[in-house]
Amino acid sequence: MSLLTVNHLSHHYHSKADYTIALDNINFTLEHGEFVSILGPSGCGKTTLLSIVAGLIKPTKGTISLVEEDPSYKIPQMGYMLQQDYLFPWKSIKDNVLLGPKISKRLNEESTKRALEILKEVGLDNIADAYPDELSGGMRQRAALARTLINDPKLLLLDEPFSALDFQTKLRLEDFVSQMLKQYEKAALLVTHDISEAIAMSDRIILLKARPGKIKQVFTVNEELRHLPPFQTRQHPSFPSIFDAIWKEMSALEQEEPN
Amino acid sequence: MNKKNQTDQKLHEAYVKKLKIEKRWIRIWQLVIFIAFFSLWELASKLKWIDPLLFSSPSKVWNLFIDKASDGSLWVHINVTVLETIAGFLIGTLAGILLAALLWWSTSFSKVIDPYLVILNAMPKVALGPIIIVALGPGYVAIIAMGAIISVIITTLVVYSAFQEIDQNYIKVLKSLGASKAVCFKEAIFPASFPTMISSLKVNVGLSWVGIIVGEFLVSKQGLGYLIIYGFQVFDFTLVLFSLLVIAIFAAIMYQLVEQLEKRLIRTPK
Ligand SMILES: Nc1ncnc2c1ncn2[C@@H]1O[C@H](COP(=O)(O)OP(=O)(O)O)[C@@H](O)[C@H]1O
Ligand SMILES: [Mg+2]
Repeated sequence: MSLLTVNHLSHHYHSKADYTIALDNINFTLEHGEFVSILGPSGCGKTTLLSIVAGLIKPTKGTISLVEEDPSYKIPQMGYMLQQDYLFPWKSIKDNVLLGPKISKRLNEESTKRALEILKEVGLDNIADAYPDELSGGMRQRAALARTLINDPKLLLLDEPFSALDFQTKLRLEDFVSQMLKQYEKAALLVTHDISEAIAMSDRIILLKARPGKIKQVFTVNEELRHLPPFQTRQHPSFPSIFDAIWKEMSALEQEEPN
Repeated sequence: MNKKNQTDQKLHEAYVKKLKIEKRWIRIWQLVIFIAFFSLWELASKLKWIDPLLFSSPSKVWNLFIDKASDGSLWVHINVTVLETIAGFLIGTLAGILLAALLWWSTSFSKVIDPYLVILNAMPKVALGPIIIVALGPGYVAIIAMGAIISVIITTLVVYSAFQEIDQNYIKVLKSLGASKAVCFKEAIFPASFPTMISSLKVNVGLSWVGIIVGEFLVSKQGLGYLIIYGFQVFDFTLVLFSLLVIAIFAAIMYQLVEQLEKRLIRTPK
C-alpha cells in the first residue's frame, strides 16, 4: 500500500466578492521512501496542497490518507518545513528543536539527548545554546530540519525550503537534505517553482497548472539520476534533456493562460 | 599584521573615548538645566518677578518637606498613593491582557464586542469618576478602580492587535507539530507580543497616575492627590507644588522599574 494517497482533492477559497479554485481534482500517490516534487508557477496551489496534506486545512472535496501503523500513535507523522525557517527567536536552537517533544508531552532526558544527537547530525551541536539570530540562513534551515526530524515523521513536507537562500547555500543544503532523507529512509513531498531543483531532488515530478490548480503531467526521473546526490544530478549529461522536456511543458502552460 | 592591529585598536579606543565624552556632555547639560530651573525659580520668587504666594519657591518647598518628613504625615500620604497606583496599574494591565486573550480566543466574541470597545476607548474615563465613587463607595477601592479603568481598554486594544499581527507561519509550524490552540497561544502568540506588552506597561504607568490622582481629588481623604486639592482649597501652593514634585519622583521611579523589567524579559540580539 502507498504511504500517501491523495484522492479527488479539490479546494476553494471563498471571499465576499469572489471565490478561487485553488485545487481541482488532484490525484496521486507517494510510496515509502519516495521523493516527489510538485512543480508549478507561483499561485498554482502548491502551498494549499501541502497544508491540506499536513491536515492544517480541510479540503472542500476529496480525501488524504496516510498509512498508519499504530492508530494510538499521537505524534504527527508528517514534518513540515516552510520557505523560511520560522525558528522562534526567543528560544535557543536546542529549545526550538525540542518543540515537538514539548508539544506532545515527551520532554525528558531521553528527548533532550535525542535533540543533541540530531543537532550533531545536522552539524549544529556546538551551537545548541545559541539563538536563531546568531546563525546564518543555511544553519537556520538545518536547525528547522532538525526540528522536524526529532518527531521521526514518515513523510516530510517541504514548501520551497531552499528558495530564500543564496545559490551556493541552496546547492549545499539540497545535497544535505537529500542525504539525510536517504539515511533516515523518509519519504518527501517537495513543492517548488524551480525546475532544476525538482529534477535534482526527486524521483517523480508532478507538474501543476495554475487557475485552477490541476495536474498537467507527471515526469519520472530516470534511474541513473535518481541515485545521484542533487549536485551531481545537475551536472549529469542527461540532465539537460529532462530539463528541456519540463521547460517546454511549463512554457506551454504559460501560453495557455488567458491574459 | 601586528602593527596594523595596534592602529586598529587605537582607532577603536579613540571611538570609545569620543562616546564617553559625548555622554559626559549630555549629563553636564542635564545638570545645568536642573540647577538653572531651581535657581531661577528661587530667584524669581525672592525678587517678586512671580507672585511668591502662588508659585512658592524651592526653599519653601524644601522646608515643608523637612517638616512633613519629621512629623511623619508625609509617609502616610505617599504610601497610600503609591500603593493605589501600583494596584491600579497592575489590575488595569493584567485585565487588559486577559481581555485581549479572550478576544483572540473567540473571533466571534471579538466581532460582537468591537463597537463597544471603540466607544469605551474614545470615552474620557475620568468622567466616570463620580459614578465609580457612588458605586464602590468613597474609598481606596474606587480610587484603584479609576487607576485601572483608565488603562484597561487601551491595553486590550493594543495587545489584541499585537496578538493578531503574528506571522501565521509560526502557527503553522506549531500545528504541524501537533499543537492545540492553547499551546499556540503559549508558545507563539504570547511571547511574540512581549515587546508590545512592555511598551503598554510604560504607557500605563503614566495613565494609572492620572486615574489615581483624579480619584483622590474626588474622594479627598488621603494621598498626594488629596494634598494637592487641599493645598488648592486653603491657598497653600507650597503644598501643591511639593506634592507635584513628589509625584514626579515616584512616577519616574516606577517607570525605571518597568524599564528594568524590560531588560530582564527581552533578550537583546547580540
Ligand atoms: N487564505 C487564502 N484565502 C484566499 N485565497 C487564497 C488563500 N491562500 C491562497 N489563496 C489563493 O489560492 C491560490 C493558490 O495559492 P497557494 O497555494 O499559496 O499557491 P502557491 O503556493 O503555488 O504559490 C492563489 O491564487 C492564492 O491567491
Ligand atoms: Mg507557496
